[in-house]
Amino acid sequence: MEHSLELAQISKAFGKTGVLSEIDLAVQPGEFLSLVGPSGCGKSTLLRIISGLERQDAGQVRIAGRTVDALSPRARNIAMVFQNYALYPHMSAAENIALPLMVDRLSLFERLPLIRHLSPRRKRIEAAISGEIGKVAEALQIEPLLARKPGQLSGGQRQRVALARAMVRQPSLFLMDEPLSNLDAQLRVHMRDELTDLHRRLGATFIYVTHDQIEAMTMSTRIAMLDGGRLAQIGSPADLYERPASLTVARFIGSPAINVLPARLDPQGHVILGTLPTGLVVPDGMAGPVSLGLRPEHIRLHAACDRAMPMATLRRSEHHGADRLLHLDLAEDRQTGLIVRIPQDETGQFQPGETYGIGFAPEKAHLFDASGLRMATRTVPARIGAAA
Amino acid sequence: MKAARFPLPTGRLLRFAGAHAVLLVGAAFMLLPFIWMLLTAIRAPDEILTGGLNPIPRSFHAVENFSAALQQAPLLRFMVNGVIICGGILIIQLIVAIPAAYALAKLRFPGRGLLFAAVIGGLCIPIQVPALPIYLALAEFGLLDSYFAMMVPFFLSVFAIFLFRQTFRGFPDEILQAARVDGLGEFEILWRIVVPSALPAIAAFSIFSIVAHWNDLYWPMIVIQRMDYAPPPLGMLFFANSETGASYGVLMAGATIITAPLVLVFLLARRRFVQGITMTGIK
Repeated sequence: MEHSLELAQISKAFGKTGVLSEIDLAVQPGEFLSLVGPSGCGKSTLLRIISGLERQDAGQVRIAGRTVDALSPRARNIAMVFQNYALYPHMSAAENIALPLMVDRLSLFERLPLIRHLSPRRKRIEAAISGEIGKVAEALQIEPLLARKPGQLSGGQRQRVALARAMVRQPSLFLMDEPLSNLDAQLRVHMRDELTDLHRRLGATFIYVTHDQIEAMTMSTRIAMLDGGRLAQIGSPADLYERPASLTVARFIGSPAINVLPARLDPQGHVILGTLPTGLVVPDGMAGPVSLGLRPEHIRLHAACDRAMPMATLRRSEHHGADRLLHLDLAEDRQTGLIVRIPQDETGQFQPGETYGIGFAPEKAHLFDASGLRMATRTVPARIGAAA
Repeated sequence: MKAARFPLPTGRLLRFAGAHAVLLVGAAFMLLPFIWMLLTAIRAPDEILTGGLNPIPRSFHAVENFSAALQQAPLLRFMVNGVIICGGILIIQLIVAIPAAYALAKLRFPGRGLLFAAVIGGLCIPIQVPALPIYLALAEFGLLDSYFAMMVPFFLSVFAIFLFRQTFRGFPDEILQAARVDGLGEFEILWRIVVPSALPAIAAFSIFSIVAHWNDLYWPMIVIQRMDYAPPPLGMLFFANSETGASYGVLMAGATIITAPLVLVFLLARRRFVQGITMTGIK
């Protein structure tokens, strides 16, 4: 089966500023692919290049097996949903949804004021279009809103109308540029649900740009993370969370963010945290500084003051419903903060101001070299905090 | 304590009265010529110069003055000319300025900055500067004494380009991009999406344009010799010279008749006009 979307070596610069370099990406039909990354990483530019609104400097875009580089956005058979919904302000919701079909099916003369009344087939086509609008409106439950103008709709309603306008063309590709970021938090969670549901019902391919890693994690089948105009990693949400390819990915995915501790490799390839061996070994690793990444839920605190553990002082404890987040300062240098997630029922044991030992299972730790790339590790029996 | 924080009603009243006094003086200066025109138009000829400042005429002479004005001068002809000239100028100004302003505001092309600078520069040039060359060219082609001669210098309005460019700039790019994805061409985007939302600015400019060209005397006086082409102000001038002499009552009745359409247009479009000006101010 051919790919729904293929990008080959896409590069783009605005003036002298490089925005994207050599992006390769292949998307299967029916995928929900999120493009994530910090602001300015080029994800929106990439979406615009796919849509045809922006032209790449080098590389190829193929949609449904067809090279579309020379085609206008319209001819690419895509639909796009924008952050600000981008509804036509003086047209009713129904007219907004109808416009792409009108352009597809009526000639320019049949769309001109006055002259359009000369066309014998216009009435028939318009009736068919309004039937299709009805179906889409029913699917999105916006039938009562069709006569209203965008100014009379709430944010969530506008978003639905924008989705309806995208759906009505039955495009081969849906492009979404941060469609939820203008909604309030509660509505955003709800629309996340609806979008996932819509994706499942339509079976269409979605390309979804967001800077919100939670949206990407909860909705996507795969995530492509961009960093500085390059593809940092592409994989399932679990891949990115459990095996981040770089320190940037590790820091971006997951909330609260991953803890990063400075460590070093000794000449034998053992990872040393402070003065203590961690039980992690890098086969044929070069001695030097490395970064140790630990997810908040993978750190265990030990009340017993064992000299073979790094120590940290509890500064603050936050209630997060089922969980509690403990903010600690690492004892040897107070610069490094540490966040630990523990289940609510274990909180009684920990008091602010007290000092605790830090333990973790080495197989859960992530190791990154000085340039921030993931290092392959294996574990050896000697490990921090293994006693408890 | 409370009095300090909440000004006394009398204080507020005074400020209110003061502000309105200033406004009233301003309004009086603006309106007095018009009121005097109206009063003169309804007075008997002997009373106009002897009546002093008494606002109430002793004998109403309105019917005589107005019917004399309508009979002696081809006022209707002047007004039809005015409509043809103002309408022609406005339509071409809009057809030229709207696409130009859209391109300057929203399209990326080499030389855009230079073109916009030229527009700004054009704002600084009054009609008197190109008047002579345009006159010579029209004379060369034998086009003097025509509607075209009266309209041609104003077809390209840099003020309109500037005003619309400022308005269009505030229009969200995402909507234009959505329209491009939906398959609209740039001209269709312009008239289907951008122009309808810029109507207040277009209405505001239209009023500026109509008022300016309805009242214009300078340019018609240069290119028009024949009375059948005269717009209202030039027509009044011909009329005052030839027929009425010193019959001010009839003259003012004529002036009242040719001013009335403008007042009506402004009253009808007042809200849009103010909206358009304030909107362009913000953006």
